[in-house]
Amino acid sequence: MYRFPKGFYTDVRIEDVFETAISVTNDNLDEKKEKEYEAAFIRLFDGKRWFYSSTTDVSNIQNEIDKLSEMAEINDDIVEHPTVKKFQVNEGEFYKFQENENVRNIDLDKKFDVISDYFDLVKECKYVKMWKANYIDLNIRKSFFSSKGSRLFFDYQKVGYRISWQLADGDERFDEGFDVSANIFESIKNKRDKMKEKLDKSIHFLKNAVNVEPGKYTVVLSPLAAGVFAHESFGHKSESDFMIGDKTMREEWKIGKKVGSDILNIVDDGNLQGNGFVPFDDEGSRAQETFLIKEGKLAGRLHSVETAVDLSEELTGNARAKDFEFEPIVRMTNTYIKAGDKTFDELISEIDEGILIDTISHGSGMSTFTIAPRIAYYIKNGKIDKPVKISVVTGNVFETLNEIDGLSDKLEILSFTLGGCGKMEQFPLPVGFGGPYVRVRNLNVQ
Amino acid sequence: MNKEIFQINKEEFSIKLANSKISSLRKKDIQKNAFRIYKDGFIGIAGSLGEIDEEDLEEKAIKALDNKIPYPYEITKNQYKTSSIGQDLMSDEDFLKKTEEMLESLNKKHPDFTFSNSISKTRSVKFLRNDENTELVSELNYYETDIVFKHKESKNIMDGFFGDEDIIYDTNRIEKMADMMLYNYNKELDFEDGEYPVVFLTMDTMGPFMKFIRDLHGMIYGTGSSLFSGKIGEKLFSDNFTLLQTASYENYEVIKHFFDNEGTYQENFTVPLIENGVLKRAYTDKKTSEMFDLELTGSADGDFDSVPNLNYDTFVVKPSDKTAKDIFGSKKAVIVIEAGGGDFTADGKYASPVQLSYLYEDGEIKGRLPQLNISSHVYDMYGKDFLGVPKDSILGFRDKDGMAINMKVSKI
Repeated sequence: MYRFPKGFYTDVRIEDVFETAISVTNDNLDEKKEKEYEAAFIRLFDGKRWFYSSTTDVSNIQNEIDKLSEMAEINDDIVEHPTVKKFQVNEGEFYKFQENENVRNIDLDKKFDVISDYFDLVKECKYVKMWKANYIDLNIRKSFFSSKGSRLFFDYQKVGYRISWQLADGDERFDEGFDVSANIFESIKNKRDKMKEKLDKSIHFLKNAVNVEPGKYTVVLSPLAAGVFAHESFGHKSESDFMIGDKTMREEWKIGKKVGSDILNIVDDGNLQGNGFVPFDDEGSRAQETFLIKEGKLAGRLHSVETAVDLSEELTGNARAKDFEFEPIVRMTNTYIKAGDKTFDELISEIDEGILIDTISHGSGMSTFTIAPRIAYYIKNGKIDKPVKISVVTGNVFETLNEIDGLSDKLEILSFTLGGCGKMEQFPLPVGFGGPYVRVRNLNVQ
Repeated sequence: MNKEIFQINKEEFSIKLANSKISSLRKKDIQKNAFRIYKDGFIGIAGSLGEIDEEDLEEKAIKALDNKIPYPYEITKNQYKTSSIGQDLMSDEDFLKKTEEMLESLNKKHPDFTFSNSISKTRSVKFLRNDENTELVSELNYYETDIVFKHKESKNIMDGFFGDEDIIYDTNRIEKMADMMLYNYNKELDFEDGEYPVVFLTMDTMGPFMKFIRDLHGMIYGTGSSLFSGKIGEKLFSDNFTLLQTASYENYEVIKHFFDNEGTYQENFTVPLIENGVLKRAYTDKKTSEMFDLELTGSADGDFDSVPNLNYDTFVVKPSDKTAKDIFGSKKAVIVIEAGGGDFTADGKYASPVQLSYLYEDGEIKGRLPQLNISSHVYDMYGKDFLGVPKDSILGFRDKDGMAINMKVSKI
């Protein structure tokens, strides 16, 4: 146990990390490795500033704590500081991924077999000029100790793969991929039919897509696009570290304020399975379901201890660090739009002229959000029409949330296998996102 | 059998800002080690963090040969070179004091704004040694400022950012940059849609180079899935357009390690991919170079303990002989500060929103523009509409600071 110096709040997060990476390009093995390491992040607070240290020498953590304490000023009343009082004290072992479910215990060749099952599909396709298969897994056993008495042991795990391909036919080019992501190895196997369907869809797009006529359209976002939209357009604005000491934002983002259409509900929940499954955050707070928008009204926001104190709100379990090199900051976990009551066909049938965005390359969001689609289609007279090439779809976040006028009745939670969320220097952080099919009026399409 | 040690060490002291105050200080000293064994056309790698135990890593790297990862390429031979960019960094105490002074000055001059994010000083050392008479050492010492600003009345979570990366911590220059943006922020201008010179300020900015990053990738080029496949030697762009892959601080103020993860480096640390409009080469590592008979450019990247793999390095456009005045004359130009989220289609069309930009006219900033859309096509952007990088500074902060392209611009 550590000797936490008096006059400070201190916590220690030790990460015991196991990860696998396998990569194959055009049938050539690029990478096949497993690695394990242990490292730690130490925080010390004197009531005025935080002092952090990241170290790969876990046998020397006490020395790091002592060095940080020399940089800080002793505060005899530190236990009465509102931030220190707010920290949860949790104790116990909460390991979820044990024995056969732990990727540490699965043979490397079995992991290779999962992706090699798809190689023939891309090799036999005449339009595929280049293909790549990536398998990754990550298991982290975290230990968290604090000067307030937390003594917590829990784990995180994700596993998945991406098969990506570059198509060419004459002068036409198109890139697409097939992502599978989960927490448990067994649940990612045997998806050949879905992969083939995706490959066929991308070939159809390559051969038939027309250039979009730029303009404003009613757009139907797939669960993937809707999830990225929820994450980028609203999720980041719910991260309360942007509001610290900011009177304007507090006025603007009062709980109960109407921010979207009545059918809109956006939720963040670290208890859900997916890449954002984090039962405890990196300050030792428990995960919880947090409604960000409920029936179109602002219902909550995401917190670390510091932001919860600043805004006089409760903890939500959203203080997350990318890895042992970084301090926890307010981040999303699994963020999604709740399902509605229309079938997919009903959503489409009510549109005379619009766009369906099926898959995307990336998205971003400030006051204007962007989505860069990959596969998209025109909708004409209530039916899905030709595939269409689009550079970017944009809209004002605040206007767009009010333009949502239809939600389908099935929810999907997804993750990008290889990427994640970026915030300032901390990228990529695994998160989950999703939603139903979401219909939005008046989006700018280029 | 050959043996190779590859190491990266990073010492960093970082000052975090929140709500215009210093909220935290972070120290890092992280050593990453890899031992590589090359045998019978295969590579085995083992990695560790912290102090290196060569014997242990060698044993693990030999075992990793069982994974049968092909690497039939010649490792770097007979190369001894050491390069250092930047001098000794200032002490933590002096760095903190200087930052506190700058922050105090910013808060005094710009009370309508709040500042957040981080400023750091970093010493990074990259090292590669093998038994084929090679030892390469690259040391970088630099300061990185990345400050996010927000108007106190703004309903956005942030309104923009200013920053700097250099071997000196020039807080006067950073303040001048902040003054330009913040004094002009409240001068909100109207905008008439049309064609304008659009200036991308950072020389290695991702947005307008995304097509080159993807389509000049050696594997994508070599397999025929690039828009430019088979076009090496062809004149595709403007005479004035020369795109360089560079790690040269001396010529282009780029702060990067001079050799790639396979130990390859270029003379003057620079290689043109497009020269005077002619496509010269795709960027490659040893694998793609050999696989497609392309010239090796030294673009191998990856995790410290990965098999080196191809990734783009810093791209810079070679400056022209023209001054900013020659290029812009009395024309109005759009200075882009932030244009995130845009992209190219597979066939080269480009569109992006511009979240923050300023109007530039007669050599000075006139005010802030509304949110805009910009659009064009890769062959137009770097062809008939390419205006170039002036040989002097547009805004007066760095020696060279922006690339100008005529583009269609409209209000969102």
